[in-house]
Amino acid sequence: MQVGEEEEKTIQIHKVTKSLNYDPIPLDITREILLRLPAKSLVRFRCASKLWSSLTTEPYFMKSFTTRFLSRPRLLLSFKKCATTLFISLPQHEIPDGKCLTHDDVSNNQIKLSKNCGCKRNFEFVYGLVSFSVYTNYVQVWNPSMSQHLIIPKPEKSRHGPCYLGYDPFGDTYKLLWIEYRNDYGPWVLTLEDKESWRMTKVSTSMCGLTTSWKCISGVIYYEVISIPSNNNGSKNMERTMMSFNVRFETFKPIKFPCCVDNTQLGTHYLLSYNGRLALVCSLDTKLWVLGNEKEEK
Amino acid sequence: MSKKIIFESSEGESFEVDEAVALECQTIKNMIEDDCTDGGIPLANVNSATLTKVIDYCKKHVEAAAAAEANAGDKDIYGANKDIELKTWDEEFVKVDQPLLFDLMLAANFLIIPGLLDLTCKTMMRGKTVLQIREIFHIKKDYTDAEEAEVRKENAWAFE
Repeated sequence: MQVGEEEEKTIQIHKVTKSLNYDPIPLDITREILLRLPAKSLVRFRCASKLWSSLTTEPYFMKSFTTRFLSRPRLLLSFKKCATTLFISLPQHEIPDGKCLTHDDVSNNQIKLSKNCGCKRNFEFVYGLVSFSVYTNYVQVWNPSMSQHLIIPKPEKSRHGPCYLGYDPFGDTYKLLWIEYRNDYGPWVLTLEDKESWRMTKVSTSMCGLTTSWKCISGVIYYEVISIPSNNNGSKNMERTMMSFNVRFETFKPIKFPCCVDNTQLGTHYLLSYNGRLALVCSLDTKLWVLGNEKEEK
Repeated sequence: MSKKIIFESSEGESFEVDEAVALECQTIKNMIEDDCTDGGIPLANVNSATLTKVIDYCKKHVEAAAAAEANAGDKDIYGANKDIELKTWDEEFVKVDQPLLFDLMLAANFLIIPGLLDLTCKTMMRGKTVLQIREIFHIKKDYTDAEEAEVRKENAWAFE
């Protein structure tokens, strides 16, 4: 009798351990599986369980997910139809050759900007985020990997001005820099993740920022500015130069253009990211200047 | 004659493979570099059926890599291989039942075969609904209906 009971117990225990052995998928494997999902599925499976939800919203997971997302080349397309501008971010490798895009491809990866956003060129891709700096009362930041879309109102009492997005790789933070057209306010800085409000930085620059070209490279935002001379001699005396803004320390530093660049005319040069440095292409004499050692390359 | 490596499955069955094939597994590569593969490598958590498949996968990918090197002109601008044949082969390869797919994934994770881990993970989740996922992963729903509705609402875009 007793032996029989014992046997039954062992069988039961055996059953339990067997099902335990088989059932739960190890957490590290679950994590590996979830990391490989497209964003939409990942978010959808957040309602599978509380564990999955916390697993996939945890900062370290999100960091790996973003890194994985950024390691695949993507194509950013922009269309304009009537008053609406449409931006589509597509995984370049997953589009089969010679096939049309499906409705899903487009609807999963798009953002629609309403009217007033005549911004064909005023966007930049900064470490996984796209910012649309437009002459409106707000800044739009888009995260194509998670289809997140943020609208941030402009600083209080401020007038229109360009806004730049920067990423600090050491602190892993994104910041927005808002440059005023007038000098009485700003420049303003806003850290994205903290949902904080605009802070005015102490350093004031006597220059207007331009939205036409800017870059964020290795934690520094580079943008072009126009310095307005105080003697009011008309637009001919306006000078274009460069400013750099260190995203981590929030410091400004002016940068001089190479001497050959005609800094009074628009559209004669472009900013590029070249081997992790800022580069300047002069379209007049087709020269490429790289910041740092100011070496003339070609 | 290339060097041979011997794997031993959980059932004790021996599998002899070329060193080049074994090198596809990062774990084994480290062992080979550390020179501790003599007398076979026991894989106590990989059964024979799974191991056969894993070896098939590694063999195919070694052959494909060698073939690609021979005609390097076929590469696209990113240097990646536009090997459609290999892709089709991969797709056929993972047309197996759920338990075997799962074992393959565990083996790929343990042996560190990134390509196979990627392939199995993606296949496992493709086209699955939340309910199916709960079933596969044996997840007990720990949300109340109201909580689940809330989470769904928060992430509405993913259900469109």
